[in-house]
Amino acid sequence: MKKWIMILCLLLLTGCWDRKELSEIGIVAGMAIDKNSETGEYIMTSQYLRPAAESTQTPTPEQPFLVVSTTGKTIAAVMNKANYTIDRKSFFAHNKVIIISEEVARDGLIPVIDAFQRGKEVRGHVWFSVAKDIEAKKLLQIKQEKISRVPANALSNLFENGEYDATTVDLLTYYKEVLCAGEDSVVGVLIREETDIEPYERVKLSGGAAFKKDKLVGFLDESETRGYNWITGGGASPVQGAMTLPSLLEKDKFVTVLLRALKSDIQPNVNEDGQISFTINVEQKLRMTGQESTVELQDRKEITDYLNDLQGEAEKKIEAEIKRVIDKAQKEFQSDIFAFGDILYKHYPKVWNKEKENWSETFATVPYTVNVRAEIISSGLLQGPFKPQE
Amino acid sequence: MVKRLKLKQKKAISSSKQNKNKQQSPPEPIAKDLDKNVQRIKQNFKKSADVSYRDYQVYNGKTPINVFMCFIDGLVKEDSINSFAIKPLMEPDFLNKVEPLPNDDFFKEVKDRIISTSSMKEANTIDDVVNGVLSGATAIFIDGYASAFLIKSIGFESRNVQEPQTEASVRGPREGFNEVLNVNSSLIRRKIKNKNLIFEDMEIGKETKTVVRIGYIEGIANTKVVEEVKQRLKRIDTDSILESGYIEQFIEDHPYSIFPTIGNSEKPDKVAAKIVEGRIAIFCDGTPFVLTVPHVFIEALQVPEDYYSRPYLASLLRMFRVLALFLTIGTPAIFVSVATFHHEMVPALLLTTMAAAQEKVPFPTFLEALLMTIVFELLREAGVRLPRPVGSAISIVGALVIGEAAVTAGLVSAPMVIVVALTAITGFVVTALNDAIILMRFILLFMAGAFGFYGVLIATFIMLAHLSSLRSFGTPYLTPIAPVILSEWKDAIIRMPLWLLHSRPQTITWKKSERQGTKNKPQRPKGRG
Repeated sequence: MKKWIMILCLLLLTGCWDRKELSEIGIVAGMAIDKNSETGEYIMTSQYLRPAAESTQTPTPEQPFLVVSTTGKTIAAVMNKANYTIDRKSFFAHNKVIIISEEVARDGLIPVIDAFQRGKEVRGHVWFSVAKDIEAKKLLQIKQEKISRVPANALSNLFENGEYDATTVDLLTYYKEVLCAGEDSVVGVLIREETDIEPYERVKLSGGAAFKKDKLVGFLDESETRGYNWITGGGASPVQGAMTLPSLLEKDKFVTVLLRALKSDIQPNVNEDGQISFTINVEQKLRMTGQESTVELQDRKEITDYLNDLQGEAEKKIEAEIKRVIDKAQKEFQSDIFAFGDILYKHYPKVWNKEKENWSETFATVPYTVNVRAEIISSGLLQGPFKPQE
Repeated sequence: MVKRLKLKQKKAISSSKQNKNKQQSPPEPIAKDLDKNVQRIKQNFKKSADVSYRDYQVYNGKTPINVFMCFIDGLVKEDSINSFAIKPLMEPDFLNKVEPLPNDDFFKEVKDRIISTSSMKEANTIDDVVNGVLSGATAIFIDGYASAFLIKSIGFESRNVQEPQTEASVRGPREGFNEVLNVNSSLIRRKIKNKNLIFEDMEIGKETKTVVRIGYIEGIANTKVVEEVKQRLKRIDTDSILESGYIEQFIEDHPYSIFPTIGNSEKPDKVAAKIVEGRIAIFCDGTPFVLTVPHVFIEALQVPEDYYSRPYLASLLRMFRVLALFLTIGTPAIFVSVATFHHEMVPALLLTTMAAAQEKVPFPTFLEALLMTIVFELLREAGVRLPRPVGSAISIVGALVIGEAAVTAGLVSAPMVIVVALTAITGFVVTALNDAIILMRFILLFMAGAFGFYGVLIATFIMLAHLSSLRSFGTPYLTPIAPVILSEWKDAIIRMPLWLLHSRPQTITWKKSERQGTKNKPQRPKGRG
């Protein structure tokens, strides 16, 4: 008898107990947050999936998604409010993308993401991004170049495939970076781009949005973002993409190399005077995928020398981009997006404790050295450039 | 020892008889007067139509002596009575030539030289004669002789040794047990030609007097377990044993458990293998299903073919059987949990597909799953019970109605059909645990409908706790997994090569028992590089 009472208690005295049929929930695939500049209220735009339109047997002719906007004083309130306006209960666990408008980002994001983290309805690994030069909700609606029938899925795939000229970060990582001392974050940026073929516009993942604490301070362009990725190792997705170098043999011809394995680390140094400096070591493996030049090289030594020169060229380019982004972070943002502070704390906790009060000023002037080593590990099984024959 | 046991047994049986007879009358000895015996016999059989009587005469010298014979039609081979019991007795030449003998010598002559059957015994009481006749013997009374001859003449129509229907195999012997006890034990004897293989008989069932035979190998089987089996069989006090299932239910360790703690099989090779491993087989007259004890859980996942095919495939198939076991118990429950409680655990694309299918279904997922599972069980039951030709019609109708029409009509979602189909198919993989599986499936389904994965987990834990509390004739049910016996894992979820399986299952025999030497690994002949 005791045993059965115990089992009954186990079953009945538990926490969450809620059953919802699949036909009662509205699956949210994407979410955009704007702010009404007049009233200061949040506008949350959610993209709900419409499963009936995806049915394999008798699909309904509607679009497979539904975009709904609701407004309210706080994010938590807006998330609940959506339930009054549509016939399904919002279900956020399958949300893939959160887009924040520039305005909301500049005002600070802690109040926004607190509702996500506390409510646990939105998962931590949802892609987190800022909309540049456009309202966030527009990005959920524009006709983009996509194969997926649901725009949010297409957006999510942009992040999955993100290359080295864009940053990608998920909600949980962003949240950790914001709460971590000595580290500021860079968030992915979505822009609208016009094109000259149907449907004449598209969404593009490009560059990064630099934050100081939880407030947006500025944008990195693609070159700066590359530099940022080389320093940090690429964040969530590995650094990938193609880099174009000038062909050293002929003018106006180019060599294309693919980025392979990247190793990067930051070493803090504190000398006797208490002077802090950082060394950034980047080791990038490359694979040659394109060679436009037609000048033929004579022997193996020439080929090796040529590859060495190319490596030098790549090193120069990488170093320049790294320096550019550090300059911008130091001078323009005073925002430690490379987590120099965190690394200092890990190696020299005592120094960090002295510095942490006014770290952003220290960071703005901290000296650094960059060591880049690029190595072409493969030339695609083909030796040197080829010369067309008659 | 065996003899002593047999004696004990006989004593037990006869003492129980005596007890019964005390209320009526003491056992009645056979009289010297033939007429009196005939009367008593006829009284005993009342007017049963299948009992045949025959009067004839033999000559002692020139003196005719009346002989009375009695047997049951259809139970005896009449040919053999004619040629071995009637003809020699009636042969005039033989007895006429000899001088008339004194009575006692004459009977001895008849017994020792004239009745020419291989098996014959003398009975001294009317009750013994009646019992003998009922089990197929022919009784012969001779006037003036105070006992009767019981000639073994049993012979009746029976099914041939055929391929068993319940346990088909691709590779391995195709023979199966039939309904005749002697045939069944002889099938085992043919496989195990060993004087230590011992069969012991006992009679169970006050009305049916069914012969139950236990078989084991002395020296391998644990004597305590053998003793325990005999004790439990003796304890049975019922009127009829019509199938070995009766015995199973009277002697099992855990009558309230949904898991079977006694195994059964129709295949002689399987039973022989179990006997050689130290198990005890219980044969029951009238059924091809032979019980084996002790029976542990893992046996449900093993089939004889595992040992006949090479170890790689056998191991893989065993793992699939484990998978099938989990799938057939858990699939509907997991589907219901996921579809009503844990939407976040399914990949988004799959969830969309599931939601799309669920959109127009009028029932809650739980009810849908429950109905479909019940319908499947009904179909299965109908398929089993109906005559063969109708059975296939049922399966066609069932497949059409459930698979096609129900989905088209929007009553059932297509994923649910897949779930139930998967459950059904995997259910046929582990047939030995069928009753437990069906019950567990419904229990888990209800828990899933009410509490989601949490309920499924609770139910699974309770089931595991229950399983590990079970024992079968002293052997823990989850051996070798729950008391961890690493050496027996060689033949549990995977089957290692036969030459690596040195010792017999320790928990079956309860002692160290070597099956084979340690140098059995096939090797290249020496001298070749």
